[in-house]
Amino acid sequence: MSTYGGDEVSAIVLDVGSCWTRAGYAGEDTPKAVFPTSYGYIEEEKEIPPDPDTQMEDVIPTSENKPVKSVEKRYIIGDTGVAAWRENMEIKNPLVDGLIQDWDALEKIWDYAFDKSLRIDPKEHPIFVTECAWNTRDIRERLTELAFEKYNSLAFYVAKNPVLSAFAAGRPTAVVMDCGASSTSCVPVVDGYVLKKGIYKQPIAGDFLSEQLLQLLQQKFDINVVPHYMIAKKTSVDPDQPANVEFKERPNTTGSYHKFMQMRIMQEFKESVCQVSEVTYNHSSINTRPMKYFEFPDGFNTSNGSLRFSVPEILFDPRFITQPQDGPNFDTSALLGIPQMIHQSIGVCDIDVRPNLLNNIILTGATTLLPGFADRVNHELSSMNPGPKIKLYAAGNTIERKCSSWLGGSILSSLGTFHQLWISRKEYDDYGRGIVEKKCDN
Amino acid sequence: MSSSSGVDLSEECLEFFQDLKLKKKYKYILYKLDDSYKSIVLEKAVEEATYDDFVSELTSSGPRYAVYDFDYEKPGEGQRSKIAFYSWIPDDSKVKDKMLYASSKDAIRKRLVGVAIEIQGTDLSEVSYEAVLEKASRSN
Ligand SMILES: Nc1ncnc2c1ncn2[C@@H]1O[C@H](COP(=O)(O)OP(=O)(O)O)[C@@H](O)[C@H]1O
Ligand SMILES: [Mg+2]
Repeated sequence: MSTYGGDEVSAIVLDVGSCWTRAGYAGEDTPKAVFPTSYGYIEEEKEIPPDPDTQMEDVIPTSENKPVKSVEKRYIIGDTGVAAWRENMEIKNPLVDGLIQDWDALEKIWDYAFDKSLRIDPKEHPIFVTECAWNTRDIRERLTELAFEKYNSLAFYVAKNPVLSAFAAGRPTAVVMDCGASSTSCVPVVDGYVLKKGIYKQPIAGDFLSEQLLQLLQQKFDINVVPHYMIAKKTSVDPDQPANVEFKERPNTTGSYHKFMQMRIMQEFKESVCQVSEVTYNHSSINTRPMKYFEFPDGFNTSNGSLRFSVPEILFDPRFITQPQDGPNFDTSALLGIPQMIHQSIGVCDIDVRPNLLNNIILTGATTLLPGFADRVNHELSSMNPGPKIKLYAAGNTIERKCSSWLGGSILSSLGTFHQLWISRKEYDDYGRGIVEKKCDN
Repeated sequence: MSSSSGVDLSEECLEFFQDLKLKKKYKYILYKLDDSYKSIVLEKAVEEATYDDFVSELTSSGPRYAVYDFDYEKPGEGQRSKIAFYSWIPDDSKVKDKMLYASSKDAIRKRLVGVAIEIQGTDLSEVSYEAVLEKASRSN
């Protein structure tokens, strides 16, 4: 079995996150390919001609022998593909709450990673995938089946994101706080194993902040956030003046595509404008902080004040959520701020591991890159736990922060000794897909 | 499975541990991963040293595992001794080393029977005498 351990054939490492899919070779320190997990699709109606055998002249047409219409989905995967405007293209995400829901789309993503991004034949490689801590047994088994049945891979392994992030931070025992795109989670890991009862998660993370920003900016400035694809020509305007723009003809644009492109602008806005208050939020001191300038794609430009702090504040105090003007209100009563989530996640663990967990809090996921994020978590946790020592770990390297689980998987699966851990083709053939519970028990 | 990485332990590591535990032959032992990253091997076993000697040796090069025969005063009960196990993976290590040492810890830790205190060290304060003493006093 040593044929695929170590240097001979490198494993392929896949991390399908809610926002980005990262794919690359084991042993490398960055994924070769990073592309959106959201995919585009266009439904095309195809007429299937009726079966000629059943067509008889003297039969009155019934619904059965009329031409049958079938709808075929054409998939568009990859960064340039989904961002390019196309008539009737819808954008969708195959994950819900971190769990794979849409298996047809997942296969298209794997296909894209293997054929287009990496240009490899999955038959010749072991495949290592990452999963969220609350993944279900059924999904792991289906992933195993997919790797062996459809892709005929040499071997397969699936490991939990927080375990990989904890190891990559040099900590077999830690609480891993992951604030990514669709969810924020806190997961205690003890000696390399997830403590299930300590998992806290909620759907308030980077994408939610983007939605809130979009809503607030549109309300506040009475503007529509206009994505690039709509713009034919723009002229620069003075700050806070209405945009001067000519639009392109874009018939049959779907709502989901338009929203996807607006969210991309909000992502840029967050990266260049937003910040977390380093200490407990205080309106008057926030109002003294410098404003930050942002120019929208249509030329509208403005300096932003409290908004740049008050929206990220949602992560720390969900009462900062702005309720939608139309549609049902969010129920914020059950939501926790991130420091509370960490505190509770540690609180349900055995009393003897708590000091060790408090001392090893890992911050990961791209939303933690907001300036002030780590300082704030530290500030709140220290006042909640006055006695014990608290230590946060957040990788200084941006790639590590965004891709810690991919990176962990890359290192682990490149080790020569890892060959004993893979599910081999033979084991799969002998025991079936249930073998994954036994072999990948992290 | 021996550990999450598949890394194993060389038998020699256990023999030296037994000598520290049963014969009090050593004050501390340092272990590391061999150059091929296949197993954990003995780096050094030291017969006499102070805690400061040990810490400066432990923290002077990259990641290590270690055991130290930790002596301390328990108020009212006199001199006590406990075996402390350390995984020393400093925050400034290379990510590959962090991954390797963290995911291989169980390969050694699970085999060392008789360890009373476990230290996960990522900076100096966590392996200081005071930090270990505090853990020693909390455990029975
Ligand atoms: N520099 C940044 N500052 C703030 N938010 C960021 C930054 N970079 C990325 N994000 C946000 O982080 C989210 C993606 O996080 P990531 O950890 O990559 O998610 P996932 O693993 O779920 O795919 C997106 O909502 C994105 O807008
Ligand atoms: Mg992620």
